Amino acid sequence: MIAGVLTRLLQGLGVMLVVGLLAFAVSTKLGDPVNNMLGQNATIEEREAMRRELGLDQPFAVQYGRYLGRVVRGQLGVSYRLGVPVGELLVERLPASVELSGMAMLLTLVLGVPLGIYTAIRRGSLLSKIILGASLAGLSVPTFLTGLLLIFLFAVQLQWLPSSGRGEVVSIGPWTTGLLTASGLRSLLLPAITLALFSLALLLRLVRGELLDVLHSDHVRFARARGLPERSINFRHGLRNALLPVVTVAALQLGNLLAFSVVTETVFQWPGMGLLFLQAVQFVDVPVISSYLLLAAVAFVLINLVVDVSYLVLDPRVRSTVGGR
Amino acid sequence: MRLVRGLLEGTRRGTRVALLVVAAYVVLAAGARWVAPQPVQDLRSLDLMNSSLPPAWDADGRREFLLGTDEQGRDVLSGALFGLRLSMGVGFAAVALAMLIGLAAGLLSGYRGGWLDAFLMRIADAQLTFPAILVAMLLDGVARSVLPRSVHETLGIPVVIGAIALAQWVPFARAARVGTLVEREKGYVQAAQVMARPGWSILLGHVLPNVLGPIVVIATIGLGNAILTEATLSFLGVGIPPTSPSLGTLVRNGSAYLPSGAWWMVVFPGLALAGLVLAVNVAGDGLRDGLDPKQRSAVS
Amino acid sequence: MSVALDGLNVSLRRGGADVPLVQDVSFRIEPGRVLGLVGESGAGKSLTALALIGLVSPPVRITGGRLSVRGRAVTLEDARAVRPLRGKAVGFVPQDPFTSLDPLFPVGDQLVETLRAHLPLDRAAARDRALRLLADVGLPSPAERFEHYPHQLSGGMRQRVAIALALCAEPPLVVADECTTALDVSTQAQIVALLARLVEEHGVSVLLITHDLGVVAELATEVAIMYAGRIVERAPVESLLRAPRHPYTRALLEAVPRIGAEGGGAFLAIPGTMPRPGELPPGCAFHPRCPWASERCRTERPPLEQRGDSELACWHPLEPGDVSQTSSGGSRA
Repeated sequence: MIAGVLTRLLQGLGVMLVVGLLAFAVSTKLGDPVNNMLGQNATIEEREAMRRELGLDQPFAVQYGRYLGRVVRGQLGVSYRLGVPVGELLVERLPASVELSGMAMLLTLVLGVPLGIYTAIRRGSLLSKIILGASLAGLSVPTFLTGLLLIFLFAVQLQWLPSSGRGEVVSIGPWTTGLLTASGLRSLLLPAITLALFSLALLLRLVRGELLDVLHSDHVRFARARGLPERSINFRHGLRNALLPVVTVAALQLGNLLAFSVVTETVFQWPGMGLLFLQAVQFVDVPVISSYLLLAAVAFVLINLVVDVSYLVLDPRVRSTVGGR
Repeated sequence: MRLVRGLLEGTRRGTRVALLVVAAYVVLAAGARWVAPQPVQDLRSLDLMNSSLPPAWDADGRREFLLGTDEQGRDVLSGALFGLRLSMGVGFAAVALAMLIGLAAGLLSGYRGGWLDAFLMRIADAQLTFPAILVAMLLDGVARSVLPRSVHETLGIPVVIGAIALAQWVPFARAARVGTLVEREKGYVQAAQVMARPGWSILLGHVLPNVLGPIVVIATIGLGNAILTEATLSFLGVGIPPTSPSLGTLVRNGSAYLPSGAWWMVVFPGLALAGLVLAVNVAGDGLRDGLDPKQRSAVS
Repeated sequence: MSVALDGLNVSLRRGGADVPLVQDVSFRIEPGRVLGLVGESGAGKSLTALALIGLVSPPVRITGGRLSVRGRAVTLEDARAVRPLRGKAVGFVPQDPFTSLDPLFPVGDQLVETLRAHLPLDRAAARDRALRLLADVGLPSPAERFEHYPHQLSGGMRQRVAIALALCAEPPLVVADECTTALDVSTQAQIVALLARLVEEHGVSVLLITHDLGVVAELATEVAIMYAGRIVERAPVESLLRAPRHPYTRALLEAVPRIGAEGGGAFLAIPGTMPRPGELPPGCAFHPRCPWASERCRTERPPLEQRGDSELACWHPLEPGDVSQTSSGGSRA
């Protein structure tokens, strides 16, 4: 089992090196860093000096190696647009994104799994049909529209909740949190719902589909035939088997959450990394773009690792093939 | 025609209604030039005197602007129709491109097997984890930095189509691969190989009819996603140039006026978009259920 | 005390009409006896098995039938009344041992759970009992196997576990649905031997559903032949195998592949296929394929009538001396 996790870690490291190369290519080849730093009017001598200073006269492999070294030490370059080291920017923006995505994921799981189970077990009921219809609508309404409509209703018309920003935040060391103040929580509500809606609809339908498959499988039929109580059939034997594929897709959904957080943060002017990334793309702020790329890659590698480990925990078949006898 | 009838057989009534709605959207979008009350493509038709009018049924509304106007005096209904045309065009083009890439990769993967198969399927796995929106944003960022502004604007739409297609080819490839593997077991491929004819050319003719059902379903579901992705990118102001506004661009422009109560600029293009995607999704869902034998089985 | 089924009817609701799938199936099985229920796929034999434990779901439904076990009769249409029978009065041995056990739990867990669902046992007592059951079904080193997951066991061992699971509550009736079909030949023989021993030791009544007449010959005391949803012949196993009375039974017997026979395929020695539900011909459902069919067979359905110790539904029963009229390709002497 430990060997399995180690293999995955190594694979993840390989992926990171490749993405790192990509980020490096973006950060050096896109736009001329010398131009960016010195402006158009610098002399050739100044340019040459700058090139040497930046190590741009070195072979590619050496440059890449130095780049990786800088990245590992947290030196991600300086934002063209804001003139602030990217590392500081990310540290400043990270808490907002993590809290938003975390809350959205929580909403997705807390609502999606039970609703999926309900619609699978009470297949024909009116409430199930309503939930399924609503989920299809949830998959069809774009995230930005959901956000705008919520803003219009709750912030503009009713004026119950703020339409943008994080509200008051409290600093705990380098971390800023909006979870401890009333205004922070109120500010979080609409963006979190907006971000959760799509993945909630998706997860709900997925849980339902997988559970229905399992409930029609041979081993559940045999469990029924043995006279096991309905609760044990649905949850112990049904849900546990259905959760295996759900875990994979739910984790992949985290990737989508990352993508849609760009949208949500834009709609609500939420000071997180998604908004930072969008602005970086629009201003061609290369250091920020390449850093975001690296960070997204780390997130995906971690997500995949979590999926693999959860399989090891959940599925005895994988456990014995990876861990040996 | 037989395919159409085969797909419709055993589907629910809701599915057929949804297909009709999609067809109506297609007609409206294709005929935008003739249906739209105002030629909004032509900027000279706009009059700032007519800006930000509410819908016609409002006390301040005017009859010739049924769904109101935006801040430039553009008729919202006409704008939505032309936006629809662009959104659907991009959606269809992206799905068609994804289908081409996917079919080619799937056929190759299934026919050649071996390391090529393993390699292509590995890429497919990786592709699934990377969301289309991020891919498109990165591509757009790259395009912005290396291309002059004017070139970038003309390339905006192709870049968006390419990015969406890149995110969607995988299911097509999987279906084509499975279909190819099934067909390969049959004798005629070997026969073709003996006759030194390129097997894949025959394969294409045999695999396609067999996987056409799943492909149509994948394409339908993919179309909904493609339209959503394009709208989202346009809303973010990435890719599609603002000079040719899609539904997402219209919502983006209108959202600035939402706090002042001008809801119609956002709501109507938004509803048009959501209605289209909903109809496509319902149709895709229904077609899939109709194809899936598991859903039809009677005995548990 | 014997187990009896009376007048089982199962039908499929389609387009506002009921299409019959199983019609008027009745039987009685004494303790320690095995009734083999035989027929081609689609004859309704598996549906009969599922109906006994109420495991049919819409649009298929039970429209009639009474099951008497332990001296109590239960109306099978009443799903709520049937549910308590599962496992407790009727044990069910599934078809495919590879998919019938939950892959996520050790087999011991599954036994303990089933035992405790039916009997007032604490965990330790249930564990003891599960170990005894595993030993009883001939699983080698049960204490070790107890902790194993299904994927760590062979097909034969899994089927032994499945049988143990079916026997947990010592039900008076055990329904075995094609329980040897998915196994290889030597494992089949072991499972058949195990079932024979269990029948003898526990004195249960067994309904053995199969299309394999070889298994029937070894295990069953009586055989009922199903065709298109009805029993067409029922008789003690020796007399049925030696002297079938129904033309369909004979066709089935002639189709049995013999060990070592060329080809080995089990093709019926008669032309045509079994009619699909809802497309039953008038009269005897078998008449389109029957070489002896007369005008009466085409118009009037023969009732299932008692003849000595057997039952038969045929207007022109075969006599022991009759020679097959279809001896061209299929019959092998």
